[in-house]
Amino acid sequence: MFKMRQKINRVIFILTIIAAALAILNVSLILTKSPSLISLTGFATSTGTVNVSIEAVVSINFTTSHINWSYGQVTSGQTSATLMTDGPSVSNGNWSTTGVSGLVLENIGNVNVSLKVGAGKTALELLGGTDPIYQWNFTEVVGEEGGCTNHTDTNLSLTYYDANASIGVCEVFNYLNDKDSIRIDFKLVIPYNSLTGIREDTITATATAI
Amino acid sequence: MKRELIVLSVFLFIIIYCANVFAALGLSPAIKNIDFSPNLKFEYTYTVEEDDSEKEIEIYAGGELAEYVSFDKTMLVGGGSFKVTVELPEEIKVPGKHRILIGVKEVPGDEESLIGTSLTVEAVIYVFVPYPGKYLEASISTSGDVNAGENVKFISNVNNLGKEDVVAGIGIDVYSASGEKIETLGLGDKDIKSQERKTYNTILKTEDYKPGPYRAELVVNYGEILRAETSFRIGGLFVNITNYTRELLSNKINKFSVGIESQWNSKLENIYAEVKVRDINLSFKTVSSELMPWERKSLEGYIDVGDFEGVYDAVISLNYAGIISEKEIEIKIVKETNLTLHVLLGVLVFAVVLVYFFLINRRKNDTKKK
Repeated sequence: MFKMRQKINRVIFILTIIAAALAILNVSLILTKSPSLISLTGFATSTGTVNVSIEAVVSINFTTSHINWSYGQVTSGQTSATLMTDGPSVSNGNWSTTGVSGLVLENIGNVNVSLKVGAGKTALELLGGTDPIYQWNFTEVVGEEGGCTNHTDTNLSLTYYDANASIGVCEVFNYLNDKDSIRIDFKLVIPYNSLTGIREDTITATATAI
Repeated sequence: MKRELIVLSVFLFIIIYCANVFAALGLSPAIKNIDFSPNLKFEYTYTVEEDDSEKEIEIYAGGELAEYVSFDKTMLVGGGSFKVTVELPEEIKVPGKHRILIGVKEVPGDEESLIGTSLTVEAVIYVFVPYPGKYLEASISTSGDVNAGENVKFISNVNNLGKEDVVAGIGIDVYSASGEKIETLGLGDKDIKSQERKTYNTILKTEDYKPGPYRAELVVNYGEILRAETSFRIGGLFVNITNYTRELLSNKINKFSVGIESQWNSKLENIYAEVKVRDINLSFKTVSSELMPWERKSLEGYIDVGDFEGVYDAVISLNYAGIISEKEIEIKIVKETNLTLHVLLGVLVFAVVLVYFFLINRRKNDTKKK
């Protein structure tokens, strides 16, 4: 009787081993064949079409949106101080250049645009005093050349021109990543007898889809 | 907890910093086209994307037809969407393309900075007003260059911008580079209704065409003849040797360049040139390179010609895709001129002449004094 039970136990043990082995085989088959279960099971395939509509977007950004020289004054005995974003530099004054740089404008949409830039104030309105200067220039960003087809109003160059209410900068401003940026630098000459207090102006960039 | 607070603070700092530094404004859809019809009324919904969630944005219309535009709102804060309704008039007298600008403009904030910025973006709705009578516009393009034996696909667009429907006979003439007409692909007579835009795809089989540049002219006959053209190239498995170094210096390791140009519309790999200078039994190979379709580039290698001098016959063998193209050339080997020595000799001669004239002059003066 005892021997009989021992035999049954052994058979059950062997069956258990076989069942476990089959289970492991089953799991491994599922894991290894799951991507192609359709071929394993004879699952029927069918094809479909995917329709995607991509909307055109006109979009621009200023990667630097403010220029702030903080507080300062013209050095005593000097007739004016000159502040420039290219550098940046301050001469004959004690304004800070920390964090100051030119504005970089980028076409981040997926269409070409025409680009106009305007200042809100003239040099006299912004700074006041005797012979103030409020000028800008437009240049290509290094490594992003060729993205701005010059407008007849201006040239992309290091030459500074008086900031004005509206100027056409790019007839075509490209959206392709390696040529979609231009830089705007400013030169300010603040006379010793300028207006005082917080002086502010807003540069408006207008991009029109073409 | 302390660590989480630090991470959160850094995260908040980055968000605040970015908010101060970046400013972006977007508007979609950027461009819409519409054909004019009397009293046509249509609506579009525009979406505005703005980085600053508190930024006020003005909505406005511009362009010559701005008076026919109305909005469901004229102000947004931090982006969103708005509806544009356009109610065109009974008649627009000037035919052609008219532009409506749909603009969104950031209202400048109270940032305390000497120079602040504001963005404005403008989407465009083009309204096409048909021309009186019959007026068609046409254009043609191809799917690109091909290799010999491959098909060229022509895409022809014919737009009826006139008020009258037309029946137009359309064909494409294919010309060789020398201007010889090779064949005409007839598309037959097509009905094109007023303000209808039609696109026709046509296949050109190039089995009988030789490699080279070609021109295709779309001809649309609707009582008047309208033409538009495009060009394409049929590539042959050939790489042209366009240039090479003609003069070498003796007793020096010389760089030798071979200019090449692919006439094939697929990429070629492992191209190299072998240059053999006959009589003096010298040869070298350039580095191997790959060549993109129709690309021009220069293969370069180095050769030491020893103390040989003179003009020698040579051959450039260009190896690519199991093919060898050969070009017979002449190479001139010259001695390097020592510029420093020439300058020194020149200075010496000049000094001798100067001393000679100085002495002559002095002798004359001495004679006069005596």
